[in-house]
Amino acid sequence: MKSLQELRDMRKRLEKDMTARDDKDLAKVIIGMGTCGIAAGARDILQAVSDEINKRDLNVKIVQTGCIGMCEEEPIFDIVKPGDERITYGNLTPDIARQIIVEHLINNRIDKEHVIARHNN
Amino acid sequence: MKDLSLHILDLAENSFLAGADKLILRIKEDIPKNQLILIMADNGQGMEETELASVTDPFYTGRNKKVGLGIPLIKYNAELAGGFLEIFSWSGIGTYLTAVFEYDHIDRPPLGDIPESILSLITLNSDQDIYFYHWFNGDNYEFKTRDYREELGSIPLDHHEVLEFIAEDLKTNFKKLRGEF
Repeated sequence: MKSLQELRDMRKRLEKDMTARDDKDLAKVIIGMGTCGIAAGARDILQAVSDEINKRDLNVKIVQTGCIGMCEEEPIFDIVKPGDERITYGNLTPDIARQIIVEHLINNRIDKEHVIARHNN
Repeated sequence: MKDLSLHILDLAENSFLAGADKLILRIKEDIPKNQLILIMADNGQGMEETELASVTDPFYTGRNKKVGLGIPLIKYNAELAGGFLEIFSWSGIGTYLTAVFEYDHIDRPPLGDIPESILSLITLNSDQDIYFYHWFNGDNYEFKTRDYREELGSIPLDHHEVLEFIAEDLKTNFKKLRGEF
């Protein structure tokens, strides 16, 4: 391990500003991590999404799903905000994924160009 | 799949989908013996014999979907590279998978970014335990999520600062072991 002391210091620091996380009210990014998704580059999408979320300090939960039967559109993710419809974006690249995160989660605009499905809750 | 790290990510997802809370990943790079061995073991729900017999068939899927194309793909790649794939599974106990490749075979997929795959797994399955053992020509590296969990108490492993810490740890040691520094 890199440095035990550093890890312990981090724990102390994080424990101070940890507020109880209630996942129910969080926006979610749901990444397709089936075989088709992974083969199409889902790992790079996951990395880009979590980097963007951390960089902008967004309160968003990243979760995964398996193959949803739209393999030819992979990599895919869904974005769902509490109380809002669920939007599926497809044919992602890391750059497009970052752009969608900003547009959808910060600017509140659906990035129509990359939407492949919408579901009403 | 472009490389082995993606196969690993894919197979590990099978394990977690099968309810595993423990996953062992063992990579053995033995260049003098010209062998690359990948072992993955989990304590998921396992498979019955009949199901086990059909998982390497690409037209089989355990829809409500436990396995799909993932296993046939790695089997194909192993056999293409002078090796083989072997799976043992016990219903209610878990699954044990071994893939063997000829190290210098032209068709052996590269190892790829193993640390990145492990990080993805931690990000998406932060409550599960991953044990990673990497053996390279006689040297060892061990990584266990459990060690971090014990030190971090109530802080979840998917906290981004924790992930960054783990990332640096994994990446440095991966390179060090393989003499890339």
